[in-house]
Amino acid sequence: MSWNKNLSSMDVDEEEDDMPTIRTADYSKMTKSFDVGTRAKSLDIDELMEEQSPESALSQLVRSWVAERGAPVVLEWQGEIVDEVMSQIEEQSKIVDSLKSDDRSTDEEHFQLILVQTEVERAKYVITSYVRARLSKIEEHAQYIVKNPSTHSNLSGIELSHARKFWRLIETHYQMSVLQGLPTAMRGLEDSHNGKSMVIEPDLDRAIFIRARRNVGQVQLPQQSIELMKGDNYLVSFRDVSYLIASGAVEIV
Amino acid sequence: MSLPAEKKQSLTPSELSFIATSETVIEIVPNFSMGQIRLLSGIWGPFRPPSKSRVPLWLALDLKRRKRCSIVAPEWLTVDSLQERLKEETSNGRYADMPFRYLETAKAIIEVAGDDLDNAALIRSLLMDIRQARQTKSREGVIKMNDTGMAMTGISQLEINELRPFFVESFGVMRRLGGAHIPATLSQSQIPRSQFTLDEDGWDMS
Repeated sequence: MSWNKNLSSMDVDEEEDDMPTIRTADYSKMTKSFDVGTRAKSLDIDELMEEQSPESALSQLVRSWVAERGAPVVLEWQGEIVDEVMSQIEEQSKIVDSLKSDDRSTDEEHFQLILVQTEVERAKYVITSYVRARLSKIEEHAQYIVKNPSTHSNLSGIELSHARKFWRLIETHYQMSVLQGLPTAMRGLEDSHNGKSMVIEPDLDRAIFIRARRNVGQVQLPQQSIELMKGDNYLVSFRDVSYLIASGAVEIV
Repeated sequence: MSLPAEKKQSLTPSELSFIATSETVIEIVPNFSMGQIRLLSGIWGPFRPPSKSRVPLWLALDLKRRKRCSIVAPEWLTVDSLQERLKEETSNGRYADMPFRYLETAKAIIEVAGDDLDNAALIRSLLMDIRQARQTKSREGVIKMNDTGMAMTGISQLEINELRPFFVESFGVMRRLGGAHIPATLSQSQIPRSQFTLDEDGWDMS
């Protein structure tokens, strides 16, 4: 969010600047014009950051990644955050490319480029880690996901079609290699016996470690009521706090 | 397949270290001049020695490795402060108040910028003592474990990760053994919402 604001404030400044821009991108100039933009808006940069929600899209994505690794089910797909980080990466890469190909870039700019590139690589790592953490659970519970439309809302379009294709492959493989040689009654893949289903379901009762991101107050667990204040850590069952995770009041750590 | 087995149970220490270097902001004294730099994580700088600048830890470590800055030790990463915490840790049953990612942060700073710390060797040994005292507490805490919820106030990220495989497994076993009281279909709507209070940020559950 703040990124977009930076961009827009920069655009305005660039327009006001009557000097003809010869070079396609000029890092020091861009940052300088941003500087002017912030000064005009507010005197105190800390105050400004506070107001504009200081958390970058990248930080949010890191948190989503950690949550995904801790949670027993596939959590809601954070498409907006991923898109935001992706477009920021693209933006940064463009600046890097244009400055790189320009031999008039200064040493300072070259140095900044190295730092920008380092961070872009780190951001790419976070994105792949996030997607992989989800993919691992999607493949594990592919059958469950395909058979339960209620889980679909948490998946992105690509993830859902992957889950379907993945399960079709597995199913076909079982049929071809084993099941077609068995009596018809034994060919099912969704049978249940004594209440135990063949479908692997995510264990919603699995314990997770949570950390409160703000003061939540009293939280009712099955057998006790706990007081959850900002920064508190608890070991609880995923099922009991899933609504707090969805609202962002607590994070999985 | 998409995740190796060892990553399925918990985050790995190297992943935690990566996260700590992304999410921790630290002060440096640069020895070069540079304007502001716009990164995904925010806008950092300007860098004007000898004044201090605030940057993410990964950036501080990167600059330090290039010998372009010295790192200012965080207030808690000093001999005095750590001795204080150690005393608190050994005299009190609770975890002393340490930053959530103190181990990862401290390890990275000591490794890369040990020469910027006053008496890095002593700091390291104090940290190890604190860590041991806390590990003992974690082990003792196992007794208090139940199958609905357990407070772990003050525990740090790396410590959570060490306990995770064992605690998650134990929690599951306890649930299976004594789980008769848990309604099998406890849905969100059944959880009494009136239990929630409005907090100071004005955040409302509904």
